[in-house]
Amino acid sequence: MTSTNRKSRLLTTALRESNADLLRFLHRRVGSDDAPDLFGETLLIAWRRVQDLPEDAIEARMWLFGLARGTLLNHARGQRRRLALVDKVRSHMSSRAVAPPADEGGEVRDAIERLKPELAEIVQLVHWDGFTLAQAADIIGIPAATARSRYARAKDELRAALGVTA
Amino acid sequence: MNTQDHLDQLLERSAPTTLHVGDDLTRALEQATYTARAQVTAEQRRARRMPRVFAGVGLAVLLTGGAGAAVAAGGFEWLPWAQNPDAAYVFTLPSGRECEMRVVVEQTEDVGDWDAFVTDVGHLAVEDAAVERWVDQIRSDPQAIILAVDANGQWQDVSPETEPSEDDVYATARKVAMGEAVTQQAEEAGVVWGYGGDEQLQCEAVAP
Repeated sequence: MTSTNRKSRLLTTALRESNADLLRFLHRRVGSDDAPDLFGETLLIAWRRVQDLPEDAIEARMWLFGLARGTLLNHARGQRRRLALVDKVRSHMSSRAVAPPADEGGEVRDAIERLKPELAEIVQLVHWDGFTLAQAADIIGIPAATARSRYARAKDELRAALGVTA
Repeated sequence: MNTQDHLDQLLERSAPTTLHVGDDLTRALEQATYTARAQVTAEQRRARRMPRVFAGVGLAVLLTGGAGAAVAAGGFEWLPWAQNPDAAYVFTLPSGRECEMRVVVEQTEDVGDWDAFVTDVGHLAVEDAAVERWVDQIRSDPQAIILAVDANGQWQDVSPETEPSEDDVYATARKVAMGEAVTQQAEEAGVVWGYGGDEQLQCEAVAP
């Protein structure tokens, strides 16, 4: 089997295992309107860069989330396009598929939103998406020590904002 | 409970929404994955060569060729991966409706002569005799799976209680004949165990 074919199979497997989590990850950031398109962008980028896919399954998953994160950054810069390839994804993301957020979380979400973006991001990756700090560092592309430091600062600021004493 | 745990709990409960990914959405995600792969394959192929389009023997030649061209009477909108096909087949149904079928092939294993296969598929012609043979076979087989062309020109499974029209029988026959011709080329090029592909079919819309 050629390297390209092998990588393609690895990517197919990695996407099958992670695509639902990727969509949830994007959905938590941008909601139902834009998440399908960012998911589609992530797929297209992944296939274009399939030769860069790590061989290790866990690393491949982190690589995919890193690509998804990249689409979020582009989205934040105002780059948007409607992709036909995710039309069915869009149609199945009905309001019934989305449980409303817990009301009690509103104040905490506001506090996270007021953090610097790089601090908010690490908190979201750990507490909303369930990544370890090391995995979050991988996704963002920063050293683990930097991730730990950002996380500690973020929690200090959140404690102060929410009145949760250390 | 210490204060550290309490903050962690607050953070974990603050996730904005929970998206339920059921069976339908799971299938849609997998389809999008496949479509994205085919689209990227087509992009890369387009960079290497011009797309090929052709019309079946004895049928009206309506194709204009060129990347992403909307052809035939319907001015069809194609799925992204079908916008630069390896082969396109235009045909006319008994009622006079124009249809187009687009095929994209992709290599899954490095076997045989792939380049020859892609070239042959690009110049493929579906013989009318093959279509008639399949029409006879479909009519004589009560278990035949027949696709129906709806008023919008899209394809659907025929429900058991519906009698297929002449258009449905011929459209199915042309689709099967096209698939048969592609398979024959794959066998000749030695890639029959090393290729996959997809197809999209559309016909002119008519008043329901």
